[in-house]
Amino acid sequence: MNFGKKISFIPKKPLTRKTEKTKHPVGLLLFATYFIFFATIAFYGGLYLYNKSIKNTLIEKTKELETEKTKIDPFSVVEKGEKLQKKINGAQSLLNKHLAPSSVFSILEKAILKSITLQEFSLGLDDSTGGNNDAYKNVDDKQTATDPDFIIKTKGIAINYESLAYQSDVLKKETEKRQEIKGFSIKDLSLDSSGNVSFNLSIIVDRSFLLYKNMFTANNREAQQAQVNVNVDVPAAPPIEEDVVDKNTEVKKTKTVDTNTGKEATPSLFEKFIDSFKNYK
Amino acid sequence: MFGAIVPIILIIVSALVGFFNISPLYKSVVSVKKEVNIVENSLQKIKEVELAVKKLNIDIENISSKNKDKLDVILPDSIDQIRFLNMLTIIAARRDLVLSNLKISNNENNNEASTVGSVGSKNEISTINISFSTTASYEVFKKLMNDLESSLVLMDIKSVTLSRSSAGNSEGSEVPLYTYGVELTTYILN
Repeated sequence: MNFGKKISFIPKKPLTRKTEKTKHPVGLLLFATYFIFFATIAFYGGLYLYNKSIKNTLIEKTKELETEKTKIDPFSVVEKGEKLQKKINGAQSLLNKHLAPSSVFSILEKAILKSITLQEFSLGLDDSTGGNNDAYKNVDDKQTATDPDFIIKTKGIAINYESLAYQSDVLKKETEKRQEIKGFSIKDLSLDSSGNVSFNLSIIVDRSFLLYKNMFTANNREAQQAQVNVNVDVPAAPPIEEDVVDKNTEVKKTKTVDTNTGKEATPSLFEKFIDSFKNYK
Repeated sequence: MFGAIVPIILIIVSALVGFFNISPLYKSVVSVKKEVNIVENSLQKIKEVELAVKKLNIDIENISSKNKDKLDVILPDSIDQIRFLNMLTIIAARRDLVLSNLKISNNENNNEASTVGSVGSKNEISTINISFSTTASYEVFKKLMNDLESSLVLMDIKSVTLSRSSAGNSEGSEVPLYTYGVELTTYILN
């Protein structure tokens, strides 16, 4: 027996076989898939909650919108404003085109000789001209067909031909001035037994000279304006009597001065209209 | 084997959740967000409108009722024919004149309406034609014309005719009297 060798029952090597643990790629993949799965679920949950909250916001905002809508009624106010604006614009333009044919009489008084007697008289719109008529002398062609001039048609008696010729010269001169009278014609001359000459006279009067706003000279306007400035403390205007008020008094009444503060009020839509009304005066 | 199945199942489940739940939910969120934006814009606009309406209201209220009344007299919405004719007779009566043959007629579609209406649109302003005759001296008639022209109720005299009044002259008055025929137009807002 060989006792030289030390015999030991203690195993020098581990009894179990050493198994080397190899790295499993499955572990990482599993981790990644778990991550993706939970991330997906979390994202879904978050999105679900966000959707719910945004839907609630939408409902709230819609309710707020409905409340705001019912709170304001813009259509009635806008309609009111539009109507007022329409009225102001309409009145403004009507005032600009407002006619004062009474000035025809002063034109006639200026242009007709004392030796001429006018018998019949008619004044009306000369629809045939529309501002242009070759039949008449020195017709200014600046007016449009929509703004016919006024025509005076009258029957007259002159004491003799000489007088009538002189009358014709006077009218010609007036026409050449290119002011009120745009043209004239003397027709149907006939001599009666007493030596008088009867005739038909037509005179075209420039419409722009019959505009109400042109009735007032610049001096008059300045004088009126000065009067308005002096009369800042205007007494209460008399009530409109049967809806008729002299426009000459209107300038005073519509002065936009706040009598309480003494300051001039901020011009509003209507005050602008009033201003133009004053200019129109 | 089991270690490989679980990840596959998880990925499939994730893909299914993504496809069937997340995708439609996301689309829904996007559309709801769009709607919210629209509503928010509307709210903003409504607030702007509210401000504008307030401003307009202030502007309208700044016009005194007295001035509004005057504007209504210049360009009324309608005309009470009886009151209008009464007004004319009162104007004439101030000059001791009596009006006869008073006639009033609506003339909505005539040329005058378009002439005046050219200011605004054609049918915004309608015209009403009035005609009357009266007997007066030349001076008094001129004053009557001035009264009509300067009336706040806007009246445009369209034609005047004059002829010797046989009745007036037969009475032997010193001032010659004439018979005048007048046609005038007034306006209403449609």
